[in-house]
Amino acid sequence: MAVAERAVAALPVRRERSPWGDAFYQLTRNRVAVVSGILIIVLVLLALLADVISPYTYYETRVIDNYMRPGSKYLLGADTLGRDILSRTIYGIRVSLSVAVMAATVSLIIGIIYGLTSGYFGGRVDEVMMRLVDFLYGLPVIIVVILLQVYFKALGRRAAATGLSALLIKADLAMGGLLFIFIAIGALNWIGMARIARGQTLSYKEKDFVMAARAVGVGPIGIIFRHLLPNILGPCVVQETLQIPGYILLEAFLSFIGLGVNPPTPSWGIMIQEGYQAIRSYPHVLLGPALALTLTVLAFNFLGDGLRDAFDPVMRGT
Amino acid sequence: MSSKLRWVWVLGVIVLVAMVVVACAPAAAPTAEEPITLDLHFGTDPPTLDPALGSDTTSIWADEQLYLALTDLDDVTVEAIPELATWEVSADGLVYTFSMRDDAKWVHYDIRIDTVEEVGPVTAHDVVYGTKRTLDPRTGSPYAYVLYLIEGGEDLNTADPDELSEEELQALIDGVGIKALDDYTVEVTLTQSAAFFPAVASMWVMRPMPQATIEEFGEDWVMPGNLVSNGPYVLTEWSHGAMLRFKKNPYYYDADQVQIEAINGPVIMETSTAFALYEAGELDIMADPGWGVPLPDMDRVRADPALSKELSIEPRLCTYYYGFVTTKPPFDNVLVRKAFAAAIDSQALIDNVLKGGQLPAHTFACPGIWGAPVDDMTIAPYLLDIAEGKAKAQEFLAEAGYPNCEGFPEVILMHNISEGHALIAQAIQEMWRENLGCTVKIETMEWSAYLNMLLPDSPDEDKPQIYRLGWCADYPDEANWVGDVFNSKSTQNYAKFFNDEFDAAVEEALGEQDLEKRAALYNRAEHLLIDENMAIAPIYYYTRVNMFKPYLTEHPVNPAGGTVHMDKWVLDWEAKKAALGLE
Amino acid sequence: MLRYIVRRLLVSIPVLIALTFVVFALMRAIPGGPFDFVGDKSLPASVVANLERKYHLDEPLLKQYGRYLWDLLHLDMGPSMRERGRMVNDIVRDNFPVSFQLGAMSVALAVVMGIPLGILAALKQNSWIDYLATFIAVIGVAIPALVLAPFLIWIVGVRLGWLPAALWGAERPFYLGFIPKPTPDFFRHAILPVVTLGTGFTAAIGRLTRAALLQVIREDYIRTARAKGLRERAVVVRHALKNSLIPVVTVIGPLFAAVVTGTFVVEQMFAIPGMGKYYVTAISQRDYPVIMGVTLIYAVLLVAANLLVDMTYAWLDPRIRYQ
Repeated sequence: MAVAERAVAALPVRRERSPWGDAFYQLTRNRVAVVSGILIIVLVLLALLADVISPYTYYETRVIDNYMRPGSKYLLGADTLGRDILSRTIYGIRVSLSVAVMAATVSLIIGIIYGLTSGYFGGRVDEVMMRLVDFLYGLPVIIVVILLQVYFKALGRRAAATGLSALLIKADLAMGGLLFIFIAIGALNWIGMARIARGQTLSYKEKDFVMAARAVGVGPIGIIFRHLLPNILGPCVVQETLQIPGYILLEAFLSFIGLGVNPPTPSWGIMIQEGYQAIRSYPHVLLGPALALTLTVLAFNFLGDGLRDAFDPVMRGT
Repeated sequence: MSSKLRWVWVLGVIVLVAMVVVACAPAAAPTAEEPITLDLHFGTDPPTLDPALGSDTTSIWADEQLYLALTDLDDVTVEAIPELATWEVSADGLVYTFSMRDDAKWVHYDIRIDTVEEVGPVTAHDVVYGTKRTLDPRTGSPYAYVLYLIEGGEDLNTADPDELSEEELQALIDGVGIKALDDYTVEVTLTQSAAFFPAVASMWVMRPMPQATIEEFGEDWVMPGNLVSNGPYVLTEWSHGAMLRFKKNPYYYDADQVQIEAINGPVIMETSTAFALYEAGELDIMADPGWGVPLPDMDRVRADPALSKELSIEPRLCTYYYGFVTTKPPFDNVLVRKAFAAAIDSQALIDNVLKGGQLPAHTFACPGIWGAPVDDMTIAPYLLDIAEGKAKAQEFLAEAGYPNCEGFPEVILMHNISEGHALIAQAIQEMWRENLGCTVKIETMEWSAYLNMLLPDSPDEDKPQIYRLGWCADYPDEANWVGDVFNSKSTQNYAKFFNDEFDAAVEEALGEQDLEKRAALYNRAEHLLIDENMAIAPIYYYTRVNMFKPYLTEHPVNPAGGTVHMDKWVLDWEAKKAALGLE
Repeated sequence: MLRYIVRRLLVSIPVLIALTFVVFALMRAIPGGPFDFVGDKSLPASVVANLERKYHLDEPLLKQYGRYLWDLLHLDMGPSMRERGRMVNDIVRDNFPVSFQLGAMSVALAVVMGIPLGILAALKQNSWIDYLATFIAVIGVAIPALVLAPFLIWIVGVRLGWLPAALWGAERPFYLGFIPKPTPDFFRHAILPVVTLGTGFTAAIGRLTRAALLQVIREDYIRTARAKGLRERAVVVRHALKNSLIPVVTVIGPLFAAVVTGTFVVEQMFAIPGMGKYYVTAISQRDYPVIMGVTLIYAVLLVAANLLVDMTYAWLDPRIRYQ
């Protein structure tokens, strides 16, 4: 007896962890993901403190200083109108992060609602909804995004527009042209999310605890909100994080073809678009935004991968 | 199973490695018997090569090499000079008689055997056919309106072919005031006298066109192989979106003076890529029908000893301006308009943002346009000097009731989406802030929708107070500038400038035969437009910022866009071969 | 299998038609038409009326749409309104093969580079090899083509002169309409653009491979194989790899069809005469038939790609079979 007890006592004790805690632990073992996470937090802080830490504003031009190389006056140099690249890069974080977050949020909300509904109700409803998704999936996203952007840019200041349109136009102008980009990007990317949400819903629908809840008499709303939603939220959020680099790059592309934010709002996309031609004569113009863009995209990539590695095996085991 | 995948993967690697190895094979050496070749580029694929349909600079450039016109524009003075014909005009200025030369030939390039063959002489009938074809509503020519000067032209072009019978339409066609008196004489009757008509006759829409070919091939007649042309060059290849090639026409009457024998023109839509190719030695020019020097490279080019010698700044018949929607407060007040115009430092803009040797502007029409009072310093001289301009600007604004811009309402400046315009707008926005104390908001809009919004009939509420625009000459005369753009009935009159004296002046000037009186009338018009009413704020006159490799010893460039006489260019072939050998 | 394919194709037809309607409606909702302006200048109303009449733009919208569908049934995508005298079919025939060549080579590069990188990363999860491999894979997408292209053109094309800075070296005519002559000149011109475009796709494929492999490795049957005593490599290659390729194959399909964003920038930068530019310029020029044609091609490609993907599923995983 005493031998057995001592043997048992000698075994290492495995700490108790909740699924979330377990996932978090997994995540921290992925060093790059951790570094990425920290980087993103730093970016958010920089974005919030932009007014305080930027040496200049993002719009003041000093035409005399155009294309000035990095030096004591402008740490990363000046662009073609003599604006400080460092400051504009910092302010650019706001645009890129807000595009990322907003588009992701829009996409997440619409996608989850759609997928949950389709997955939960099943049968005919599911069939129809999924046919619609298949159809939308076939839409060439880029073309529709461009069409939407052109349409929005063509609305201009239609004073004749009433109600919702007028409100949207005002809001968009106030945001330097961002609102319509959010709508255009987010409105089309929810499709992938819907599929995932539906898949997750389907796999959870048949689980024991859901059956139990039904047996007890919980109605559909209750089941959806209290049992299904919290469980599928994890994988969905993780999936969405992986889309974020795509959104940031999409904004850069839209800026390249002239359908991005309104100047002088600085977005890295616009800065790259203004700077790539100067790569032969003044390469510094490209350095700030390109580096920032690359690092951010890398960071979200690694973080997203890390999150997914961390969550998946755990979730599957539930 | 897995070995299947392995195989696929290995195969993929082998293929890719093979491609790289093949790529490293040495390039084929150029053969000895190559013709003297010029490598230029097209900024976009020409939308069409049909002279009746041309509107884009690339199309116009190609039309200039392929088709001769009755007259041409001189490379320096931009005045009309004879090409296919000399002309005489009747005393009342209404009837022009063109006497054509008889040695111009239609030629056809046979793709299969790579030879040019003669088809027939270019006659007056071809000129008549070409002109009537442009005016025919069924052709759908965007530039037909410049031919409304010809009697019956407008009636024909504005007719609706669906509503008319064959005979009625034919009657209209026959009623156009152009006819062939004999094989080499063309008589044109105008609706009113127009001193600039010979310049109009140089335009691509009035050139002789090959009736038989067009009727045979329909819309495909412009493809190499079908194409019949008469100019100094023939089209030997047109891969859409990729490449155009030209070859010297041996049957051109001045063929022995045409030095360049072959022209290659890849289509390169990205200006910085074109310049990279120029620097790599694969292109010989940065000029029409392609791009000029990209703005960010200007400083480096000027500083580089070799590149700066290749730089060449030439005039261009265009003006860049900010227009005011004069019915929208507070810009319905002329003092406000003058203030904002005066506060723009054009020279600083040119030196720091544009860097292309442009000229600050104080009139609507630029130098080179007949009748443009550019040297008249009584027209808003303060637009040219910022010291004076700033002082006057503040004066005007205070007089208008907004000293230091206090109490000034929110004002919008709009431009179409373009990086260049955005830069200029932001620079000027800063100037207004500094020189006037006024903060102006910038908005952008997509091009087509932008122009639609600016139309005089569009609702004012949608419009900004200030809009950006430019104007380039269709032909080098004020009739095309103040006449066409700002008369009260013009659909281009976005500034909504309605001035009776102005309308009367340009109307009278149109038909005025006494050249001195005509110039005086246009001078008055510009005075009214700019100096007295400042309906628009002219900012700068465009230039072309071109580069030519040193082995191009002669390269005349015409200020009128697209009208480049490649047959007058001279290339030192030995020097080029040497330069390429070294690259 | 054949019945399945036919069924899928039949189902996609109404989808494609619905697609044309949506794009048609969206396009027309945007103000402005193809003929309103020539450069800066607004055309006189009579000229605009002429042109609109010629291209049937004055007819009621539904009639125009009906006319378009009718022509489509005869495989005629209509005339370009901007490139006078040229049909959309011609544009596609001339330009699409080039985009296809560029896209195919880029995807091939991405597969050849991405899959091994992904495998490596998954096998050595969380080690520095994992990070390095993933980094290499992802860097291609993180540096947008916008930045990479001018950089390569300038450094490799001009300064070093190792490769042609731009242009596409494919000589026409192509074999079978889209296969180019394999000359050294062709490959030399192709390297820079393919690298620019391909490195972007490498990221997608690499990361997916890694993720899928990671997931599969944990599955029971893998543990069984291990328990049976098979060598690690045999385990991975024989069992895990095949199944983990399924999600990768899923993405290759749409990836191929999604060559749009990438090609526009790359084609513009390297002066490659492909379809990419039409996606953007046709919209701003309001060249309606071209917009419709380009959208349709893209959608058809997507349908074909998805079909191909599903069939590859079946080949890869015998558990998945369609009747």
